Amino acid sequence: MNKERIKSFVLVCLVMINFILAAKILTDKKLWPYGYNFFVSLEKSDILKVFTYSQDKKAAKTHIATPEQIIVNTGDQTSRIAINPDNEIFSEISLAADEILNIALNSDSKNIFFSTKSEWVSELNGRSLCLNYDIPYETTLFGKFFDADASALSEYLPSLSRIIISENGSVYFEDFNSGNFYKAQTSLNPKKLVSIIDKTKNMYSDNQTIINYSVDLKFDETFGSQKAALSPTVLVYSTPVNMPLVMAINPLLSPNNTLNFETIDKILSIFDINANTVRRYPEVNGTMVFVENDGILKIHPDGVIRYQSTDSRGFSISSGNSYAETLIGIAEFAHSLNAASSSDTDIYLSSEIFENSQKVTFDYRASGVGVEMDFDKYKNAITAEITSDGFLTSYTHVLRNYIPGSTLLQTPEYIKTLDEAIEKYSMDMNNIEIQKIYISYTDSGSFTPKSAKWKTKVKSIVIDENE
Amino acid sequence: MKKKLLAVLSIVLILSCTLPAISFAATYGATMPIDAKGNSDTIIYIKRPESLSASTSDLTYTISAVGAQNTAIKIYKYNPASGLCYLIKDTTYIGASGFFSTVVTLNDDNNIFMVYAENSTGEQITRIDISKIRKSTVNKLKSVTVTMKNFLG
Repeated sequence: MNKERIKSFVLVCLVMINFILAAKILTDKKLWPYGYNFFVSLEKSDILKVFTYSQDKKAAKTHIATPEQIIVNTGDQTSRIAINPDNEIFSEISLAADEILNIALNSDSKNIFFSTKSEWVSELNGRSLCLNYDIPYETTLFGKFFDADASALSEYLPSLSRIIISENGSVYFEDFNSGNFYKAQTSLNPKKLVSIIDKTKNMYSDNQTIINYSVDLKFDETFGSQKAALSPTVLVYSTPVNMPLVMAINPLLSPNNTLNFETIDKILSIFDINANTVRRYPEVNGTMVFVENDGILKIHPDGVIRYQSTDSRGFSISSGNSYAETLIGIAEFAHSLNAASSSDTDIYLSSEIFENSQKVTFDYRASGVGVEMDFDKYKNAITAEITSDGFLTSYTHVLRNYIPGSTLLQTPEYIKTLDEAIEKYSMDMNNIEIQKIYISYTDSGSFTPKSAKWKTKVKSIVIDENE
Repeated sequence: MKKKLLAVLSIVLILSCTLPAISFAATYGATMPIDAKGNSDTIIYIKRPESLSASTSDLTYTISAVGAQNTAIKIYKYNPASGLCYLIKDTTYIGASGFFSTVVTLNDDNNIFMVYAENSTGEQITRIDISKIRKSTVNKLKSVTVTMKNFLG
């Protein structure tokens, strides 16, 4: 009798182990065989994408339509705070802003008004949020990222660059070309916004840096023989800013400086390349070249991925139903390549975007600020050339992971940076308008620690030929 | 007599040559009298506050100005107890941008700041008055509604 019980027990264990191992094989992608695989096909099927699409869209939207900085205006200059994407409260503020933006972008013409300078300046000095974006957006396209029809608003401002959300629910959009603001009146009760402004004010009550807008200090108006002016919404910081040193890591290399083939295999699968059947060969400089019927993929040991399609169509990255979807598809694609190389560094859209732009670029953010690429011929981290129906014809991606260190360095004095910029341009220009002063890191391709510096962007370059 | 006249003339000549230099070199150190005056009013232009006085409920205020490159600027604050203005911001030089800005901390009620600017053309002393009012006062003022009676009715 005992023998029977033992036999039954062993049989039950074996059956359970069988189920456990089968489940592991079904769910662990590393154990899936190469070549045709039912589960790989299922993963990429349109049916499953219906369930994962909304999450991917959300993740991709954060790379496309997220402000580079949100200024929380509390009514006092002493408590005004600049919130970067790496701040813990950024997501909460961003979500609250998105809710109001969705309504404002859908405004009818009868709810859109021209805003005088004194009105929007008053909002900047009151309780409001000022959303600063890296690049200008075509208004209708921007609306699509919020599932909104911004066609009425686009008749007033074809492209926007800055948004002010007032505590009373009014939303002011800045026209990128003219610098004028247009107000969209919403009837939304902005309780969430009010509480977020108060919460942020309390969270950062010990902040020492005073931030003023150029228009407050009247630095947007020249006087006498003064050559330079700042755009009205340029921020002026009273003290240097403390930023960490960041280390750049090439995620294609293992700690012992050899190529990480596991990462390369993941990258191949994202390009729908079968690692077992693809034609491959190494170049003299160590670059691995993978040749498929419709394209060539090159993976350089220095972390650069380059794809070039060899047929007229290219590589499909979206259903092609709309340009907005195509952009989201690229962001998702770039994000998945970063994830494949275990890089959690944030990316943001860095090229001006208009409907049907064929070239799109993204760059990295480290410690909440942008990283400007200046590495050989690469001026952007990611460059994609696309067709209007959602196909990628060319793609370059400099894979990097930026790790902030514990050492904090002070940036130079703000006004000194301004002085240096003016000195640089004043020899050749008579009227200088500084459009933007911002902090960023520069990646020149080396792996030494990088410090953040102030950078300036000049809006208008005017040379008076009579002088 | 002639010698005495010559001596007087020499003294007058020397004084007339050196007096401008002396007045130009009259910089202020750690303190400055409240009624100090410069010899120019075109060295810098105060942008904020433009009317040289302002009211705020904030704890700090940013003074801004523009001027020629290499102009030296110091900020003094009046202390009513001693009747003197004390240096609170040491010398800063205006750079190529021409911009100057500084943040000052406010006490309750009236705050008097003296902006001292100096370059090769002279010195300028500008008084700025900033009144700090309580936030509750600001809130009360914001909630006031004024009703206009129509006397022509």
